[in-house]
Amino acid sequence: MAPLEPYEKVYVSKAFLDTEHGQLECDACHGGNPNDSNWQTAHKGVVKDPTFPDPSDACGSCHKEIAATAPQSLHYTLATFDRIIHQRISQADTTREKVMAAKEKHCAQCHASCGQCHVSRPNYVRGGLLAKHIFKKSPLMDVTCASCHGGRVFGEYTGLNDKYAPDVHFEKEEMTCMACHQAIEMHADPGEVPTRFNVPRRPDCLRCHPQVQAENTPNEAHRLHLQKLACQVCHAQENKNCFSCHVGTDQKGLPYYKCKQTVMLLKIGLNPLKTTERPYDYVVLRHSPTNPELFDFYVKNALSRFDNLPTWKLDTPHNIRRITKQNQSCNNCHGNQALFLKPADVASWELSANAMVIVPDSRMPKELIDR
Amino acid sequence: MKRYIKWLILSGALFLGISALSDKPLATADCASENQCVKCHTNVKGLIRLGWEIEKIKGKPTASQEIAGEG
Repeated sequence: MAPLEPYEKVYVSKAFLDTEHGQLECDACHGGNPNDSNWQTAHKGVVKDPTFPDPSDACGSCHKEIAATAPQSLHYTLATFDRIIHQRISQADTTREKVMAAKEKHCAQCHASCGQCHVSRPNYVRGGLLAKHIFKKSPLMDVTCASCHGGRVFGEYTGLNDKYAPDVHFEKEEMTCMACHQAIEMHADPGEVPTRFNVPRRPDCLRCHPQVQAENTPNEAHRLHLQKLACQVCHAQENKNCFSCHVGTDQKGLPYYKCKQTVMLLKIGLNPLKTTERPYDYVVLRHSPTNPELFDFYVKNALSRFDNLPTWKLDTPHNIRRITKQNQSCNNCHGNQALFLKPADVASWELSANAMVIVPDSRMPKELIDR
Repeated sequence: MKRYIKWLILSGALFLGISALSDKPLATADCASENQCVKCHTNVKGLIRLGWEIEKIKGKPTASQEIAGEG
């Protein structure tokens, strides 16, 4: 997403001054000296985002409940990044320190705050006011969400990937991200969850489509597969898979990443994160860009316990269609080796890491002769 | 003409009288009551000029030229 012009980032509309938030004195939230006409001295002590890391002063006096839990939300903390890195990282203290410093440099800029969702664009796209400082109760999907989730999810959902249709929820109903990812999920303290897939109140297809699990459903495929397959196995299109990402710092001190390959694929694998809410045997997978040399620029062999987690991760592609290539007939899936993650799809160095998600021949759904 | 001069003198005297009663000169008091944040941040032309000024001092923010592939 192209950054805003400098003036656009800080231009405040007079209409904002008539809103409830516009009644507050500027310096009550941002500090600085509102009586000083010299911009350089007036901005001394100014806080650009008064809602990060602690929104209790700026938001908490009116939105007490939200301000109490939002700072623990994954959008604020990115806590699962740390938990996942820690599972793969070497136990040596010096290595940990270097990797966590690199993580701060490369990954921490992706966090969001109350302000970065409801008032400005996220820092990741260099900020700038969303609507000339008018607060947006619902963040703007194509600006706010797409700023950080634009590489994969936003493109999938709105049909920006060549040859792939948009998600049916967007195409037919123009549903925004917030239709499924509601405030209660966004603002909640998720506790010590191991991954973002364990956050409470995540979207659930069955909440809006309860008829799918009705015992007398006329849909045979739903009756037969409901507990075995995640909805996306039948209803998602190809998702975006990235391979071999490396991070580093250039000669000017600027952080960079180099991602070797991005491929649209649909790979079904064994469910690595079974829970009572997600009891499925088969799920859609996505290859994450990680690899053992990811942090080599900063410290060699940092991810010495790399095989602790699969590189093909559980995914919930946001490009749902009622009819897909794989659900048009039984044998588009049954017996279709190409659709399932097999050892041949996996590089030799990641075979062990992915043992739990690769589909062995014994668990391949057999071709149905009478269909 | 005489009436006009008389009116001008009276107005001047009134202004000086009120100024003397106030602890600050009128012009300064008026300026201080104006919120400079609002004055500046609602003025597009001023912000554009200021943007140029800041860009001269700080330069344009840049990303690394070594970035490759999709992020």
